[in-house]
Amino acid sequence: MVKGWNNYPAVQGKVFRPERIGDLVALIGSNEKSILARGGGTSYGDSSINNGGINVDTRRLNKMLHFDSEQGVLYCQCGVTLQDISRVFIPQGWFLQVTPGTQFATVGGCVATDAHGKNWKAGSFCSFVKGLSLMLQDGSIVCCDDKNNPDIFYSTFGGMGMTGIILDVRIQLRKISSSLIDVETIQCRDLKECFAVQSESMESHEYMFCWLDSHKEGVNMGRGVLQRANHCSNGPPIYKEKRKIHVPFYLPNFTVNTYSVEAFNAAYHASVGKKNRKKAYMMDFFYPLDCIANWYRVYGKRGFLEYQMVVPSDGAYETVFEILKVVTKSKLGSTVAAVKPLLNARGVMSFPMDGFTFAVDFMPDQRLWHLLDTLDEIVIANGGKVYLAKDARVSSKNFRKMYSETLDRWEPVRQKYNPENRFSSMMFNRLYKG
Amino acid sequence: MNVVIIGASSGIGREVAHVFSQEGHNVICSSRDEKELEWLVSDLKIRYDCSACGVPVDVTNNSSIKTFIEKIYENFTIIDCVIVTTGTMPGNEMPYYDEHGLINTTMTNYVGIALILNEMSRRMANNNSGIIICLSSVAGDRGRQSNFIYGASKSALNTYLQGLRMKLYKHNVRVITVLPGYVDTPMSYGTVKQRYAVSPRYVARKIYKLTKSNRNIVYIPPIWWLIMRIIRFIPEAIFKRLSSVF
Repeated sequence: MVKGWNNYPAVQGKVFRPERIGDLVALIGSNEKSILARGGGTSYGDSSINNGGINVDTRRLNKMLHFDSEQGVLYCQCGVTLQDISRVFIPQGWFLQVTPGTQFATVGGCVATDAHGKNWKAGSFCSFVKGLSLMLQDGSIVCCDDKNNPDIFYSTFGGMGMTGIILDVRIQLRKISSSLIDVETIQCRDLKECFAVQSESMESHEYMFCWLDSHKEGVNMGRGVLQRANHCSNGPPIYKEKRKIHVPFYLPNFTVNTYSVEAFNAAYHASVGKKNRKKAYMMDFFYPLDCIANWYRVYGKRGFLEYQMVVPSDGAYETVFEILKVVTKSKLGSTVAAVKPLLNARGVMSFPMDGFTFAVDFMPDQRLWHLLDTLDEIVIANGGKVYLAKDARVSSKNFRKMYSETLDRWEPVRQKYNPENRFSSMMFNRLYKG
Repeated sequence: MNVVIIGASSGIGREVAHVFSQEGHNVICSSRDEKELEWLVSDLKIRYDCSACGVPVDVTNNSSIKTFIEKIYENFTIIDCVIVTTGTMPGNEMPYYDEHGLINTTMTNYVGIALILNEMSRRMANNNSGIIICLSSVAGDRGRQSNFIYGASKSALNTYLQGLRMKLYKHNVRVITVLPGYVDTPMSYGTVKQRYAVSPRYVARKIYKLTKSNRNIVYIPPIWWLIMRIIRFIPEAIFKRLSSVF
C-alpha cells in the first residue's frame, strides 16, 4: 500500500527499497517502464505515488558522505531525513536554513518539492542546495550545480522527481548558537489584523506563520494566532529526542467533524491569550506535530486533503479574504489552516514566489470537489498557483494555467532528460495526460 | 574495543556498525562493495565522530579472505570482537536444484564465514580473549520444503559455531549464535514477513548487549525460541506431511 501523508489517495503499488546505489543501478537496468523515487512519504496527495510502476523508497540510501565543518556544507545521500541532520548537527552548532513542518521528510524529497517553511525570509529549501547528482533514465549519473548542467539543476528543484532520481545533495547549513527559539504568540481578531501584524513583523522576525480559524464567519472571520520568532543567541545547542505519543489505530471517520473542529478552534484561539512571549525548544517550534506519531490517523481511514496556494503580494489580502469566505461558509475546513509570506525561489517549477501562501486542511466530503474547483478559479484569476506537494486533485487544465510560464521552460529540459517518461507518478499522469 | 563487522553495508550489519560506533568503539567494517564501504565509513565518522575504517572482502573468494585477514592484523594487533552479519537467501522463484543457488548460498552462509572465523578465532585463542557473534537463522533449526537450501547452510553454520564454542571455551573466547526471526531487511522486504518484522536497529542493540553477557544461543526477538521449540517438537513422520503449512 502506497500513500501520502494524508492517507488520500492510498493505492496498491510495488515498492522497491534499495540499500545500496548498486541496487538502484540494477533496477534502472531492468525493464521496468515506470519508476518514481519517494522519500519520507510526507507530501500530501499523489505526488509521491506511482500506481503503474515501481515506487523507490529511498530512506535507506541515507549516508552522510562529507561535512565541511568550516563552511557548514553537508554532502549527503537523498534518504537522509531532516531528523538525522538535526540529531547530528545541532550539537555541533549547525541547523538547516529552511525546514518544512516535519522532520521525517528526506533531503531528496525536500529538493524535489522545493519545500518551504516558517523561515520565509531565507527562501526555500533549494536556495541552499549547492549541488546534486541525479540518476537518469539510462542509469547514467549526472552531477549538476549552477555552473555544470544548470538546466537540469534548476529543473530538479520542485520538479517532483520527473527529471531523475536524486542521489545525493550538497546543502549549506547555518550556524546557530542556541537550540532555543524566542517565540512571540499574538492573538489576532480578524484576517486584516493577521496581515497587519505579519507585515509589521517582516523586518524584525526571521520566522513567522499564522494559524487561522477556518470556521469562524462574520466580522471575526480569519481570526488567528500568529507566531513570530528569532533564534536565541545564548545557551548551548543541544538535541533532545522527544518522547512520542502514538495514535495506535485509525480513529473513526467522524472524529473530525464540523463540531469538533469548531470546538477545537475556539479553544485554541482562546488559550493563547492576547500576547505572550517565551523561549521554546527548536524542535517543538519547527515540528509541533511530530511529537504525535501517526497523527493523520485522527482523520480516520479515508484521510484528508490539504489545499495550499500562493498568490502575489499585491492583492494577497483580498484574495485570501475571498477564499477564506468560501471556506468558512462551507464548514468543511479542518483545524489546520495557515497563512504566511513567501519569497521567490530559484527552481523552475518551485512553488514559492513573492507573495502570501494560504493552506487549509479539509475533511473529504462530496461537496468538497466542487468547492476546491471554485478555489482554483479564484487562485488562477489572481495569478496564483497551488502547491503540487499538497495536491491530489487539480485538473490538467487548471494546472497548465497556473504553471503556464514555468512549464514552457521546464518541459524542454524534462523531455531532454526523461524522454520516455520513465520517471512518472500518479500526479504526473493526472496533470499531463488528464 | 576493536570490532570487526563482516557484511556491514546493508541490513543488520549496517545498524550494528552504527550502534557500536555510537557507543564509542572502533569499528572495522567490511563488505564486498568498496564504494559503499567508503561511504559507510564517512557516514559513521560524521554521525558519531568516531574512528571507523573499511576493509573490503568477498566471502565467496578464498584469496580475498586471506588478504582481508592479513590487512586487518597489519593494522590492528588485537581484534576484541568479530560480528558476522553476512548472509544470502536464494529467492523463492529459484528452484532448489539450481546449481548456482546452492553453491553461492553455501559459500556465503557457511564456507566463507567458517574460513574467516577459523583464522580469527585462532588468533583470539592465542590471545586468550575475544568475542565472536555470528548471525544465523531460525531457518537452520528445522529443514522445511520452502527454503531448505538456505536452512541447510545455516544449520551447518550453527553446528560449526557449537563446535567452535566448545573448542574456544578454555581460551576465554565467547562464541554467540544469534538467531533472528523476521527482520525488516532486504531479505524479508515485500513479503508477509515484513508485517511481523522487527527493525534492524532493534536487533543491533540486542547484539550490542550480548557483548556484555554470557549467553550462547540467542533468539531475537525471544518469542522465536518458543516458536522454534514447538516446530522442532513435531515428529518428522507428521512434519513431512505438513508441506501446505511450512
